[in-house]
Amino acid sequence: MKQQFRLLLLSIVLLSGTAFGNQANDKHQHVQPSEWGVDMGIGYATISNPLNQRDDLHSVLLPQWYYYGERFYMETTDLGYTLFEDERLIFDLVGYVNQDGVLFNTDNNPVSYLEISKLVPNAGLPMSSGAIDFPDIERRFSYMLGGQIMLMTDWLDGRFVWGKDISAGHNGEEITLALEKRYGWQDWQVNWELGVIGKTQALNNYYYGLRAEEAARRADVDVTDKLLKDYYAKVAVAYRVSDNWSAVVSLQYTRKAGALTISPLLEKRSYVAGFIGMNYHF
Amino acid sequence: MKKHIGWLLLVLLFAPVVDAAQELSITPQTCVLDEQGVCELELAVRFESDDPLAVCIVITAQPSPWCLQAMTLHQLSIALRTSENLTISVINSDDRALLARSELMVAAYVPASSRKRRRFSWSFQ
Repeated sequence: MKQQFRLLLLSIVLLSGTAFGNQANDKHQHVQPSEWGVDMGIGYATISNPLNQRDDLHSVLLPQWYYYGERFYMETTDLGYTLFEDERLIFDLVGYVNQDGVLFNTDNNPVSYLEISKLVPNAGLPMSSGAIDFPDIERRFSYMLGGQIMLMTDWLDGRFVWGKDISAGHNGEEITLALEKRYGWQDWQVNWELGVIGKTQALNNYYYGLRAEEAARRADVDVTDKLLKDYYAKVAVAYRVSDNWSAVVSLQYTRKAGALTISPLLEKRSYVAGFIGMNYHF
Repeated sequence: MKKHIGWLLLVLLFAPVVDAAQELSITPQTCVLDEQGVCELELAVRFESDDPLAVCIVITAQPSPWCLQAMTLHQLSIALRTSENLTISVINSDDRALLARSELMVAAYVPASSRKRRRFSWSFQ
């Protein structure tokens, strides 16, 4: 169960992002209604965890699946309901997993009371020394519900997504703006994506702030009072080996907002997620 | 005598003009274009007439006709490759008169609206 859970976490991070066929008859990136598919990546998948004393995530298997109905669709953990779709414009209602929750759940250690000796500077209290049991800090997954708009042009594709937490309880929001382009040539596919994710203080304080019991304080300790932006860049290359097999290299670099570095929970400001290996399409 | 000739003329005048019955049928009558926009098929042509006729079957864009000896029933199967409608004509070999004509229609299959993958697919299917 633990291994399957880790596979899902990897797929959420590595397989996020979108792609659009620039030609209407591009079979690789279009499906017919009621079509479904399953893929298994076999190789090496990893997320370098930027959180303090948290494990990186590794796996040799990376599953993904999809289903597209007349309007409903599923892309592994992403769910969507399409309000409008044509060659240039798409409106979807969407649900997806926020990546910060993934970073906090790379292992399954139970929550325990923490002795926090290091306080966030804006609390105005002196810092104390002592070991911090960071791995025991628990944060839930945030499943985000919202909408997205996709715009396809002859040069680039653009995407705007708004999502609000419906599962973790903090009700924080994310706004994503992304540009991407896909190239297909004979047996090769290349996709790159650049994006910025604005996250509200509710979301960032939930993940990177400290609860009162964690900070041994009377109140929660926040890390920010405004919307902060993460930036990311992603590139993926696939090469067709046979009808069912393809060789894949995928790399995503994420740089979190500088203001978050005051959080004792965040050791590094950036992290990398990647996969190299073979993909089998069932 | 004049009265008998008159009746004969009336009979001839109003007698129905009866041509030898001819019937042309082709199977199939429609062909669906493949992904390359081409239709390949075995066309069955059947031409029947009351009187034995030597005919030639002429098909649009085909290099030469198929000519058959005098018979009341002509049947043949022709391998064709086309991307547009074809006209199949049956003509009398002797006087080149058009006896019958039919048409093979081509059609393009248009699938239900496809949907874009929302994620970059690592497969090529």
